[in-house]
Amino acid sequence: MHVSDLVRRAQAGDRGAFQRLYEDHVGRVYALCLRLTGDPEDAMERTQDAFVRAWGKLRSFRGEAAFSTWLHRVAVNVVLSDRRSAGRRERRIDAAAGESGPRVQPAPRAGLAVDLERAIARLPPRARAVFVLYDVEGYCHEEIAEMSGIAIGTSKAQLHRARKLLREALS
Amino acid sequence: MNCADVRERLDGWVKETLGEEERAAVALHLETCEACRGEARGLETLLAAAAVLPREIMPPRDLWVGIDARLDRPEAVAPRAARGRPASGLPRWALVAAALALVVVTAAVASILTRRWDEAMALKLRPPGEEARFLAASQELLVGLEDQDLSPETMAIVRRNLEVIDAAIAELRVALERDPGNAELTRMLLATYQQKIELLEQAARSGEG
Amino acid sequence: MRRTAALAAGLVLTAVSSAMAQSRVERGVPAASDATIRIYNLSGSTHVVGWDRDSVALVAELDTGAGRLYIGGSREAIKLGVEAAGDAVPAPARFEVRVPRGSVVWVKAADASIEVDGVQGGVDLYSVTGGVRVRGAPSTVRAESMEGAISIDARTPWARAKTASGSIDLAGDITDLAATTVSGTVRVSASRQARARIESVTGEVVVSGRPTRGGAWEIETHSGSVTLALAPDTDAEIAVHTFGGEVRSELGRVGTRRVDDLAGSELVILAGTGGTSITVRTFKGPVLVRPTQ
Repeated sequence: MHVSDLVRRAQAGDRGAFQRLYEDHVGRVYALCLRLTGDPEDAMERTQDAFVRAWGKLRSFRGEAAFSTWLHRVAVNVVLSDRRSAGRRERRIDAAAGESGPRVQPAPRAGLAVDLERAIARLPPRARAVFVLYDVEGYCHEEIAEMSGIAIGTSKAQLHRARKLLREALS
Repeated sequence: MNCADVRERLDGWVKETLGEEERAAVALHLETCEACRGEARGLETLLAAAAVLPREIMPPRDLWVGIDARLDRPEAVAPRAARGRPASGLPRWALVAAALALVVVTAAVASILTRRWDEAMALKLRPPGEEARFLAASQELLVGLEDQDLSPETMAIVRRNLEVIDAAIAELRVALERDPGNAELTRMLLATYQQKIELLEQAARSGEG
Repeated sequence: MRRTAALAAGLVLTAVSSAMAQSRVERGVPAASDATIRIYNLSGSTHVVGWDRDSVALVAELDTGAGRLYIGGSREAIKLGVEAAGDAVPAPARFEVRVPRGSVVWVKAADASIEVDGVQGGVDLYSVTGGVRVRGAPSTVRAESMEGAISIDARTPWARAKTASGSIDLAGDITDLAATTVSGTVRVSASRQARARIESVTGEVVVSGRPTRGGAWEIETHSGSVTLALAPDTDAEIAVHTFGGEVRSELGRVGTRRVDDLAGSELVILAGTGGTSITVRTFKGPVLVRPTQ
């Protein structure tokens, strides 16, 4: 069945249709949340939040954009608007101080991609968010500024900082 | 064009979005400036790596059960079902259930519904912390069910099936004690715990409106 | 204003005299062709049939003590059911409900059985001990029962079935299916599954048919036996992971990758040229792979 049919059915309250949309899109949403948060547990929570939020807002989806684009935006807003996450993440890192190894353990993939994932996860939160949204997800600075409530100049500065830190980490 | 001008335009250079004139000016500068060439190469490498990052990563476990459990709650009012008002006051069992839905998914349960057991987790010996969380969550769900005043028949079904699951868990634990590093057994154990949670969730839905 | 009027017009509350041993009530309300219909009938039976009219028609037979019948809502979202008086367990009610074919149908029952025929929208059904049966071509199916049997014989791209001890039977043409049970038997004889996921603790699993080329089936049990009955010319690679279960194959070539008492064993059975991936995981359930008879 076509995505637009599934969306229409989900808008009518069809949970089965929504579950299918979940199954088809969860990989994209989780990848985004994982990179934005740098923490698999946090990312799973945010992924769930994003789908719950999407269900609640589904009526406002008019179909001008692709559903995946719209859902993606919902997920970005969920992660960025969650002011609690920074504090929670810090507590987690404290709690995990005794553990060894990186916080993100991506599926084994060869070479640079794995190193890059790890390096992204270690970036300061704001620089990480801007890098992921700009260089991985393809948003522009104007959109990033609007979504995360920062100035366009700040977004550019954070991108510069993120790229510098990543290049150092990868070299 | 000086170094500062060029570095401002490197993004456009790498992504090939500069106009003809700017492109030529940047090219000219790069020919003579070792430092800026290094910057450009570094950025190219980074963006090339970012471009091939996987678009999709599957979460270590299915997250749907946790989402499904939350769709009826006020945070996520269903799109159109919510527009239709109940014809009369909700039946008592529905009210009890609505209360339960709010009560049941408290901290321990919420955490278990978003739990992961990725490969790293499975490769550890038996994750006792993980088991403890499952035990706490299933205990909480069970207490919630008892408070919900389900029919004795329903509770009997739940108990019978819990016994089946607990027997399987006990067998897997014995096997894991003999072979503590076995990732497949660990996966089976955690999957069986997950089934226990899902059974309790399913029973809780019997009262929901 | 329009919405209020629609609500008021659609709202019909029918008090049923408790003095009657059994009463028959007929009600109809207009409905959108893709309306969401929510039905609550805890005890007795509910039969939903899709029809080519934009209305919902209910015929209910109520035993003494079945409670109050209600039907109401708007054209897009209709809710109907019986409301028990006080805390009493409601007496059985038998519902025959016609709904627009394209409706999304949601039914909730305690010991009532649920049957759905000819609905093309999504169906979402829950009973505690009653059986659940779906036929037709719904866009999605979700069916749950704790102890009742679930039977889906449908042409649908997507179906999910879940029980505690009830059996699950899936047949027809289901592209993507999942069945989960604790102790119930799972039988799948669907003809064209591309994706299938079946989980059971002690329940027996029997899957028969011809998997779609390029498809992926996953079957997992603790001690439940697994039987795969495949068309003799099936192209599939079947990987069986087991710790204590006996594995027999009467189909294809069997290769053993690793056998170790504690670590378990993994057997790979190649039928035809491969192409479909079938994975069976079991702690100690016996596994049999055989051709269809």
